[in-house]
Amino acid sequence: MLNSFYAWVAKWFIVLIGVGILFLGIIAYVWWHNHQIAKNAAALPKAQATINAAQANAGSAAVNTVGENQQKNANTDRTTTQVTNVYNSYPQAKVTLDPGFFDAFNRGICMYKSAANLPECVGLQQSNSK
Amino acid sequence: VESAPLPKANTVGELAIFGAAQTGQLDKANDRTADTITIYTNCEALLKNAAEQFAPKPWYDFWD
Repeated sequence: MLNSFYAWVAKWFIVLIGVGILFLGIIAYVWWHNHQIAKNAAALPKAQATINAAQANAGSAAVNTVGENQQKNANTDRTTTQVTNVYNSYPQAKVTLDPGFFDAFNRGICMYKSAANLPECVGLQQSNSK
Repeated sequence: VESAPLPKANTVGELAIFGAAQTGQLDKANDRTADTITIYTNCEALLKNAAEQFAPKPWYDFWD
């Protein structure tokens, strides 16, 4: 009689422990799930702010690159001026070319897209059409 | 990038100067290409870095 009572108590004690563990598990899951939802909701504005900052940084980097490009262009123009002076320092630079060759040279250059809109090329095209 | 202006006079010097100026224009065009690639690469790297910052954390990372 007493043994069966102890067995009954032990059985229900184990059941209660199991239910308690299950209950704690459910509470932990609900907490974790809500935390994940809150974390995801907070992530969106944070992500937007991070992207905005990245875009601003990319923009300023692009401005710097364009600024450096202008500096490089100025350096190139300076080199061209120096080279021009060197070429002009030689007496042979004044040697005249055959006019037919010079005309063919200019017309050849004007055939390229990058030169087609030069005023000289436009002038040559107009003289052709007359 | 537009071509250098055509030679102003019918002389050897002007032709040579045109060649130099045209090479300068080529440099500018090449610089522009390099700069475009730089801008694009910077933009991509910054956005990639931003994306990594808000990538989902693992499920066991409770406290963040």
